[in-house]
Amino acid sequence: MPDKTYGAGLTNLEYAPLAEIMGRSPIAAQVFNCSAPDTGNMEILAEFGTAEQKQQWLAPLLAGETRSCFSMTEPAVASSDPTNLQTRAVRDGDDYVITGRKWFTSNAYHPHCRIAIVMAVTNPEAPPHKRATMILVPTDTPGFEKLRSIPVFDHIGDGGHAEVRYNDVRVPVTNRLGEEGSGFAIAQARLGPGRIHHCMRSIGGAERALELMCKRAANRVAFGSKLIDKQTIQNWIADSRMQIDQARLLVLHAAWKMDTIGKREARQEISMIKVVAANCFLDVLDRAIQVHGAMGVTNDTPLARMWAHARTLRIVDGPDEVHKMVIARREARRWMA
Amino acid sequence: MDFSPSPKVRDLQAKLTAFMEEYIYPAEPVAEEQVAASGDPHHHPQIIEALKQRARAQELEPVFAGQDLRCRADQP
Repeated sequence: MPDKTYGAGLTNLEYAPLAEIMGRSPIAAQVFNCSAPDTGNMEILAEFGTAEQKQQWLAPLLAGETRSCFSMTEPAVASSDPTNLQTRAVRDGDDYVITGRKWFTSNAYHPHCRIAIVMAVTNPEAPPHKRATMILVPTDTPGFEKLRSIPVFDHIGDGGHAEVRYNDVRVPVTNRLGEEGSGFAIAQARLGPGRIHHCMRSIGGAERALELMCKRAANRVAFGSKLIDKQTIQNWIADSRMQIDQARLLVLHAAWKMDTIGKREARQEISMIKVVAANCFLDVLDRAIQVHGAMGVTNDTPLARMWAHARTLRIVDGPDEVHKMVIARREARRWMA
Repeated sequence: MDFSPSPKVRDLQAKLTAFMEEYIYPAEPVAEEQVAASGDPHHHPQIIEALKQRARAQELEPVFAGQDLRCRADQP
């Protein structure tokens, strides 16, 4: 793909500090058109889409005119292991007919959302990782039924997290992304380097929280002294600074390794930053909220909204435990006979 | 391993930081008010759309739109 076709022509290591700055505000990603799940969807459309699919769906996404959703997770099965997925796409002449139930189809309630990328089983007899296929479903297709916008930590907002029922949704076979049975391979390609960017956004959010924590501590007086003069608060600030700087270096190292050695060779580092950055963000936010007292749990600072988002980051794109399982296996494999 | 930013990145960092301070942080409470006023939790706040246009006019938005996928597409 030629340089600058779709972006600014930056390496992962160059883009990382810019993603950090954007991560400081929950509204920045939308303004700069680099929100989830659009960026991941744009990437797989660019890499696996046909010329027609790119023209119809990728171009308006890149132009910021439309939004998209990604429909993989299902309420009925442990979707962290995607070989469990049950939604079916059955071939009928030149069409696929899709039946199933998804949830956390995030962004489906955005007024500009026009397209869903759906992961569905096309061949249940195939080996587990060859069973599923990604299919493009325009959100105005008959049978695409949004059941509800799921409250997350009692909050409904932005593009929502939709529960969607696919009631015999019929789309032409030309809406298939890549080969039949390539759903898992494409899902893998969808994750990788995007992690660098969303981990750096988490670090930007943690920096913002630390800044708010310090400003509050420097100005608030209780029991005869400023909060900043109390050792517990100093401890929290110091721990936060150390955690953030460690996490940032780990992410930059992963970015450097990906740029210089390759995506495949950096898999271990990419798994590690997914766990480290989300937990760092969450730890710093928790301390910042505590320093703000009652105000910290209100909407008068961005901390509460950031916390709710950060808490979901330990689950989305694979929970901490799945990444740790993979990290431990790779580590142990080096010592196996 | 040298993680120091190139002149190109330093320039973008400065532009982006200025945009965040001038427009993004002040827009956070405005976006929330616009959603509340609309009565629809999924309302797309007018200020976000206006800032998208502004970022595009300042040639910032095209820098980032699609950058994620370009980074990935160029991997060895």
